[in-house]
Amino acid sequence: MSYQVEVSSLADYALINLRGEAQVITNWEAALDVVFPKAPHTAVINEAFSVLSLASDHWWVRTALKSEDEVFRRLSQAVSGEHAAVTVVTDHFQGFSIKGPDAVAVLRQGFSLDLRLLDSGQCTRGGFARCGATLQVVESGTDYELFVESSYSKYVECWLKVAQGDTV
Amino acid sequence: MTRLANGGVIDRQRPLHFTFNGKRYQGYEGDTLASALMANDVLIVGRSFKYHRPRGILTCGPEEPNALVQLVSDGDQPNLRATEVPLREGLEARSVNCWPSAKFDLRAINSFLAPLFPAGFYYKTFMAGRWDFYSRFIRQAAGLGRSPKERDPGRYERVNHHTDVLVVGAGPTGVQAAKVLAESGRDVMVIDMQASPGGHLLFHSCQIDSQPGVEWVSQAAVELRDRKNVTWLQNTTATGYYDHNMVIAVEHEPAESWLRERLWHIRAKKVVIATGAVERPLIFPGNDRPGVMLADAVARYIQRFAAVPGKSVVIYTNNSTAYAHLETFKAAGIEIQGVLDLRESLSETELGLASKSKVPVVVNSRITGVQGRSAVKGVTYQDESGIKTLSCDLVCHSGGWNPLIHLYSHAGGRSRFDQESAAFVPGERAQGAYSIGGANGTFSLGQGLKEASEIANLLFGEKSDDSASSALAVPVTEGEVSYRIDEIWPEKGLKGKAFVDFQNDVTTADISLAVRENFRSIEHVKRYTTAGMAVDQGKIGNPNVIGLVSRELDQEQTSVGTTTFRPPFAPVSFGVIGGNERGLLIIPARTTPMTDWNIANGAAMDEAGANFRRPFFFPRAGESMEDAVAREATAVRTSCGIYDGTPLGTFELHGPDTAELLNRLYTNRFDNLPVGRGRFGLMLREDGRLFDDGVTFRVDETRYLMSCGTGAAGAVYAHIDRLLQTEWIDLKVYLVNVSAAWATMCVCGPMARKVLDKLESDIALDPSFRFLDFRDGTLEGIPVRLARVSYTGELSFEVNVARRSALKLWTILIDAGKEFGITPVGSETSGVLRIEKGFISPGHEGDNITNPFDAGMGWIVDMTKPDFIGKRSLLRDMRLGGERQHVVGLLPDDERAAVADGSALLPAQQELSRSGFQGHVTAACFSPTLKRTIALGLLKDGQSRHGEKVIISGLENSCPATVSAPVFYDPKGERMRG
Repeated sequence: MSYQVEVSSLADYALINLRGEAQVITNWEAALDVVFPKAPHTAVINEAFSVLSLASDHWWVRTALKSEDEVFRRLSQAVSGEHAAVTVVTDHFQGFSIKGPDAVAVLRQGFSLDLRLLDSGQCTRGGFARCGATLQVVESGTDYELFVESSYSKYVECWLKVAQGDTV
Repeated sequence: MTRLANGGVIDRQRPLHFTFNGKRYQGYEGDTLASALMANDVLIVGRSFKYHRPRGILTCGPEEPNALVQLVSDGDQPNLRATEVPLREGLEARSVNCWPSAKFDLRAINSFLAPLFPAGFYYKTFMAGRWDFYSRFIRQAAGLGRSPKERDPGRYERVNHHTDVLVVGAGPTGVQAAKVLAESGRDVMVIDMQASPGGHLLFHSCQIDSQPGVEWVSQAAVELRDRKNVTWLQNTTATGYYDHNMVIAVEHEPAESWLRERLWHIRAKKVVIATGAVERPLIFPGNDRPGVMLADAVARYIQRFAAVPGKSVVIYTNNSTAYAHLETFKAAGIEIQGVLDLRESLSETELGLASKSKVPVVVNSRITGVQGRSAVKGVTYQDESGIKTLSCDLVCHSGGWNPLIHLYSHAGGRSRFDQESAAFVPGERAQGAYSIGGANGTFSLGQGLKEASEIANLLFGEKSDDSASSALAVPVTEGEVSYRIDEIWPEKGLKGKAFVDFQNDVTTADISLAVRENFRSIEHVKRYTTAGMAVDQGKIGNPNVIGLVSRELDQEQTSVGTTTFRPPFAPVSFGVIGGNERGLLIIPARTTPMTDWNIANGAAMDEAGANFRRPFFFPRAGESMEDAVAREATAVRTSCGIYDGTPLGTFELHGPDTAELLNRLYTNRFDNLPVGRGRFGLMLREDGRLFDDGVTFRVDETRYLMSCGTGAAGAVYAHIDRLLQTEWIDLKVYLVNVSAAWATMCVCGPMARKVLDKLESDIALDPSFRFLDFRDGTLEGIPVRLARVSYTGELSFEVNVARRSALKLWTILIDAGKEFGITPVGSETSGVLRIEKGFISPGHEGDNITNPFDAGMGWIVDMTKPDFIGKRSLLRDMRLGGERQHVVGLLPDDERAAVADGSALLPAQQELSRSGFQGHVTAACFSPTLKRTIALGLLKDGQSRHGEKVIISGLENSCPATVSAPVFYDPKGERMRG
């Protein structure tokens, strides 16, 4: 009696928000030994980090929670004296994993975006279920990660259950 | 039972039992309620709105004006069309707008009072006297059906869908267009309101590519459904066409068993409208009697449901399509008494069909009356030789076809009147809407298929010879009866009621009366007579109204025009509009880490702006709200309180120009704010009015932390973001929203320091930690930022902590504060505390007129700064001078007076120099500290009127009060600085 999809809250992750112009990217890349995504709305993923390009001067670095302080320190030091902003936003967002053959059937209830246009490895931001959200496409059509402001987390958790076809 | 032994697409192996008006019947899987009622010989299904005339089923689709029912099973659903309700086991329905029953309705007395109820009788009759007196009676009689009282048990879903092309309608032309487009590789979505594809071919025999037309459509549909680039939905009605080619559609009974309906928001690059046409009634006296039906509808009931509505029929027509049904009627065992044709002559084909079926045809004839009241017994008609009678129990009539131009018109397309088909057809196109087939006034199947192919090939501006799809040949059709119509109107001054709007009981006489009374615009005629304003929205009746008006005015129908087509095309349930936004999801409610704790500890929760739910107060057993608020406020003033301030907006500002940005945003200076300190700031709009306030801390040389009001947080963020991106792009500042990253808990009251002192901490709480200082450190090992900020006027520590540790620290603070009587405080209490202190709240005292000087906050405005947002407007206010409303305190003479926010302030009796409205109360409360009622208000010239008397005038009472300074408690602020 519900869509074939598994929804779970993401745990054990840290999110660091980066704002800066093109000239500081190399500093951050060197600090993490990761090549940042340059194309808009794309992500680069390796074992230690996911780096999401959210705008021309805006990235997210996602890493394990235990590395939060260390990664923050490295990124901050990398741009010391530069005009850039490194901010820990782990607690500002709550992530959800939405996996399964019917993942799009659930997501299209909240997003008015054309999800067909998002391939694996892309990310985007938009209105979702009357609150803002950032969507990372892990595997197009079947595996997505959704981040909403933490104050909406209980609402979105409940919303996703209903959208799956469950009752609350 | 009038059900054929064979035929139809019903599943005779699956009988279904249902109840209508308390009586049990049986139908089959695949039936609609209408077809099942017809098969059970139920003639009277409802009553008309005004005259309560008995009504039967007229049509077979969403255009049905008569057979409205209340569905009692599956939740109370009013005003469903029986033609649209799929039959299911246990279905229970009843007629609407009748008492005690549809068969015997006492309100049918209205029919005898008809001369008193002409068009516009409301306006004529109720002009004099009091409308509120009449309305009580009218409202009792008005309305169809009953609103459900229970929660709708149905579940609904709203989805978004994007496609290259949306094809509305899976009849032959829609399917042909979809085939061509799918072949070209485009993403195609096909939606169709019927349960099966085929459109009119489901009911009419015709050959396409040498096979039965319906089989050709079914085969094509199966092939299309298998394609990855095609989305196919049956039972789905497009209800509206909006800007940017967005079409809203309702899918009934989706495959997902838990859903009743699904609302589709479809965004298409192009939209092909292949919705076909609906049959138009003829106008003749008694055309509303049960047993008088549209000819095509009867054919549909026979072909699709094997349901036969009569044994002996008279057919009345002005066009060729009725002749195509003769064989169908005969095959169903209906005895055809004759065809009465308004036209003077017939085509060879029509004559051939009549001859083949051995049916007598009387040309140049018209029906003058229908015999029988609750059932048809016969008709009287007039031909060249005089008045005659024919016995029958069924009258089938056809007045031609109305292309369904609704969606096309929603899109902004214009219509034009086509003389040949005597119908309004699509004219000048708007957006990406393309009508084909019957919806385009192309009533020839062969022509429609050709049109579908051409439109589909050229939809994206491709040359047809470049497209792989162009290789698809246009199908060849056989066996069509070419459409031929003569538009012939009834003579003026008909005897007996001839209806043009069945549901609202609008007759030819009403239309004539409206025109005689000089209503010349079709829109005015519609509103005066209510024609086209019923549930069916004039789908079948409006063209007749337009025709009659054109005749009365002696104008072409093109110049009369149509009324405006507005969504929805068919009624839409509130359930599907709401989707899942109900119950717990009615608003996107936001929570803090302490929300569950607050609820578990008995908080009365309240909406607190920006969709946050916050504790209003924490009542103990037996306490009223007033008692609880008094206890909480007293605790803050005498010992210690704690409240959850998490919903406040919090933003980080990074960059070398942040101080300059803050200088421009706030009325006061921030460039001299030292690191480690905070400063209260007041933000104005461009017009110099209060926008927001809050404290901003300087974390390091280039990094600041700004807080703002909960309700204004979104607007403040957008305001700053817009300025940085569009106005002040030279400023090197990054803005980051961290509102939900931090939880804020305010420990306030004279014992606040002692509570914190009990915790293990590396933060010194000695007097060197001054008001508006902040310090980073740990409390019980948890990293925190402590700030000396007060919204209550007491010694306060604002504890800011990462969300993940918030609840843990909150409970630690509660435990530590027990010996000092720490008391959780709600927003109602903090409101009382702020009124006592006279703290200005932009949400209360800011009324879009108040400037900082009016609010007594001139102390925070630095007019010597080069500029700040709102400065120019403040200068204008100052130069204009004149009397302005100022924030004042109000002390009612009755110290326990109940004063409501918003009460008017009027001059006291002895104040002769002033008259009229003087201002209003912005916030009032009973102060537990001062043990009396106090209020803040905006009063004309208030700053010079301290000590004067005014009258506080509320809706329920009024009382005299003395104007005072707005700060009632600790005016020097010694307690919060302590």
